[in-house]
Amino acid sequence: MAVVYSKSSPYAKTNTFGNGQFLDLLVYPTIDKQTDDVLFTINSIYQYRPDMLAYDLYGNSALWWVFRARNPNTLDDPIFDFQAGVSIYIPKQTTLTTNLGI
Amino acid sequence: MPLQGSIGVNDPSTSTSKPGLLDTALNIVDPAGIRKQISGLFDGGVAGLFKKNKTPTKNISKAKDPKNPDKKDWRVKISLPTASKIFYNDKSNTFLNILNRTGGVIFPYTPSITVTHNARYQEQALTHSNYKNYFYDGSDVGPITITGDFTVQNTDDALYLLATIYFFRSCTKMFFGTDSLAGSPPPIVYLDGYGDFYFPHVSCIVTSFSHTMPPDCDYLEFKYSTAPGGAKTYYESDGSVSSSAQNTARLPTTSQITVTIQPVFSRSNIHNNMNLTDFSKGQLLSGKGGFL
Repeated sequence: MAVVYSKSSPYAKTNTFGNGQFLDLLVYPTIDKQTDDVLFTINSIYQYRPDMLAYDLYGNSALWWVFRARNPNTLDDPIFDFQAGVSIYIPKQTTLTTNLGI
Repeated sequence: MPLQGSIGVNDPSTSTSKPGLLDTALNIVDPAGIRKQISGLFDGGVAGLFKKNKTPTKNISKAKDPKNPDKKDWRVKISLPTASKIFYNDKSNTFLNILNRTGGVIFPYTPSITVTHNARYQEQALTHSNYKNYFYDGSDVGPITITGDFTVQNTDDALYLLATIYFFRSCTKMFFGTDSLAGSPPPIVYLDGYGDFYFPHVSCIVTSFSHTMPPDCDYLEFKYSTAPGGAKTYYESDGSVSSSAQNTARLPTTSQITVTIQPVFSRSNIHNNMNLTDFSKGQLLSGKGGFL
């Protein structure tokens, strides 16, 4: 039976094959870049914790991957590149609502 | 006193219980609020009251030149005539259709390009002369060699590279056999890039194409289908899905394409449009011959 991923999952837009049993290569949902996105320098509180930042900002730790999707040139690894001192843009809740429907 | 980070917002970590006076003062039930306050962040990732952005919000995901939003793409592109119905312009050719997204082949990384302009002179070594004499013979534009890198990080990249390879392979061959266009030579392609002046929609023929696959990189496996409309599904006698006709292929995560194209201009185009005075003024661009 095919698995359906939630809208907040990074796999929501990833294709499946084999009658929906297997995931294809990961395709991140698009997170639009807005001119008024806040530039945030990761501090020691959130180091390696994109899930905690997602919970604090959006109330949903499952959105840990949106920072990587918004900053693909800065965050290659969504967790281990999430280090103190790295500056990233924070997608707004309204952007996530528009892009992900959540 | 509420924390700055929690002004007028609904924090899920605090919504389930009602904090007492002391708890509110110390904010021990709102660790998320403390973290946000220390970090200078606000709910929803907004800029906050004191950081209001006076410029209107604008989506920059598909960035264009703000001074000239209608500006043409400056990337190097090799394309078919828009009126042609072959290759990626053929709607039944789902294999090459991915090139329609970019209206031809776009080199994703800045390619290395060599353009040669020749003036041919016949030299005459005269008897009893200290110098040779040169008599003008003719001029031409030599083959343009374009070498560009292609990387493959996902299925989309792989399909684009595969379509690019098959497009250039096809551009070096004539229509043959049972083709409806049998007997026609390989198609004319157009070269664009770096604005209107450097490659002004130059008509060319593809004279050579090579794809270098390095041994020291990963090869990405991906699936594709050449069947119209995508993958074809086969069914068992009981109606269950048996398999899909998707093919599997592998392409290097980084490889290099070298294509040599020769600018060609029809005799009527040369006769009607070409003159050196206008050419030297930069006036024989796209729509007026596209001369190099």
